[in-house]
Amino acid sequence: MKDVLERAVDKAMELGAEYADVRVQRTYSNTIRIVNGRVERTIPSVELTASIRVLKGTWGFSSLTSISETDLLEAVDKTFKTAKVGAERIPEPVKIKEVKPVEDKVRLGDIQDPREIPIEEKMEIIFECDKAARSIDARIVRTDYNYSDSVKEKYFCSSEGSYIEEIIPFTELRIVVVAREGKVIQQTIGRIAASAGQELMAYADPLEVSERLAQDTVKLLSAKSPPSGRYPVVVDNGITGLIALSTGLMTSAYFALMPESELGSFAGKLGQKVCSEAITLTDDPTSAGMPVIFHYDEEGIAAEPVNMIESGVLKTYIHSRETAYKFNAEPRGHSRAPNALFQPKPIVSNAIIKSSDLSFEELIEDVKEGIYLRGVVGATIGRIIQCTTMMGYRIVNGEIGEPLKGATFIVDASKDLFNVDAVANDFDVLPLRLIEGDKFYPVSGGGPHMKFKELKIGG
Amino acid sequence: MVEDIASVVRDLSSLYGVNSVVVLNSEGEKIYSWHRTEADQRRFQLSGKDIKDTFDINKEFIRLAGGDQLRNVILRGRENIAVIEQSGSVIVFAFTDMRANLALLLIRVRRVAENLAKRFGGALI
Repeated sequence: MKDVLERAVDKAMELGAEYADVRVQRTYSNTIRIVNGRVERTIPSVELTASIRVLKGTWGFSSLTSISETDLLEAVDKTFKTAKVGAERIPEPVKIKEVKPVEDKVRLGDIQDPREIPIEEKMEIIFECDKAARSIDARIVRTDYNYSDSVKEKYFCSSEGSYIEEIIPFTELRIVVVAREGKVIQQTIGRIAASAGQELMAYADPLEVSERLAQDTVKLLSAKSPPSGRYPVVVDNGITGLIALSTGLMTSAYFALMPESELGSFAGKLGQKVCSEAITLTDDPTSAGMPVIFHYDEEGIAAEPVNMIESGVLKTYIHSRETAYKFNAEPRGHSRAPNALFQPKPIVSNAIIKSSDLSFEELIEDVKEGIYLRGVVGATIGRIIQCTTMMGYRIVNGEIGEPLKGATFIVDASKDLFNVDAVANDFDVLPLRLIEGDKFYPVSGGGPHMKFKELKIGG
Repeated sequence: MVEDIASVVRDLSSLYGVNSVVVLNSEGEKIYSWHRTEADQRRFQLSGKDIKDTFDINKEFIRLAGGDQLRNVILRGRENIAVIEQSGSVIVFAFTDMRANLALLLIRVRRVAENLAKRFGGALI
């Protein structure tokens, strides 16, 4: 592989490029969907994607699904030409931050490789979970299990002499349970995901998760609807994670260069207060056990944790090499792409809000009348975050009160993030998907329970 | 009864990588054991008491840590995995090598323990 990729970048340089890189990704994946105990689909697949990026004043980019030398060299030729033509039409040439070349091979760690597990064994696990959920109560009318696993073999080669191979596993199970009693319908959603192999399905105990989800769904049938209006609100770790992810996306230099875009709120705000002092936000693609893990980003830069926001102040954006040059910053391994067909751009991986030393009890003790929201059913993120939660509880005089059905809430990042009063000392993470075209970035958000002085909620 | 137990245990022993399965009653007496090969049987030196004591120690451990009921004990060696699960008056022990699908192993150990408790629970006491 290395020789072929090196010949491709060498050819780009011979043509006159300032820089070139080639990315190849071979993805082995399995998806299984079981609805109400019946198999809806099973899709085992192997996908090969590759791309060539050439810098000559501006970027030329071509993607292909073959890595034969002939195809690669032909693509280099075309890519160089498009860069050259494009460069004539831009006011300012694209420059990239210099980095030291790296040679490395990152192999699968101590995991149970999902490629070695027969599909019937994976299906048996899901069938058992499905059966367990449906056997909880006759009012469970629908169960929907979406399982997927993948192993990505990634290759990166640059004209500066970097050559990196990295293998990344990912396993995910998304569970939807619906209960019905008369006209009342209740839905809950569970997610298990990590950059891990099949062992995740043991340690995350999907059987137990299924049973609990089914129990919660049935319990919520008789719960009251939450009130509408502005209340002191405490959100659980998953909802904090959603807010962390949305805020994290706004710290991308890519969006900061597009102030008019939905995620461009933090444009020009470096060194300024962008949220409450209670919030310190980190993006960490290197932490074991998280839904997203990589050692090197899509530009071959070693990944490291970055504190984008410290005590409410925007300290840095996350960068690609191009944006790092523009902002005179360092690229620290946060360029991502759904696969090798897409151009890399700086996107958060695991956006984490830092915990404090307050216990949950201490967090809610001064709330006289408020709402505690748990679980994310669905959400849209951006400058305005809209989220439908799974369930809620009243908080009365610092104590958790009666359960409530899920509520919707709206967070206006430009105002409500200043309303965060405090965060607790616990931690959990919400695995999510960030969709682009028909592909997605696995991402996650995490953090502690978080308290808003006031938030607008609707029943 | 042994044949009936064997038919239930087959759900577990048929799993790739499982080398030994032992069924105990709540007193820790071996009611049934199965080993994939004679070599596995010769290597196996655990008594019913060893298995029950390990489960009980962990039960106490969880309690002292502030937890509730212990569901199972999972021990991971470099090359092997041991699982002990109790359901009612039945304790099931499985010993596997690393080729076994751990997620499925846990599901089947639980299923076998529950099925044995359901069918023979009273008789095993």
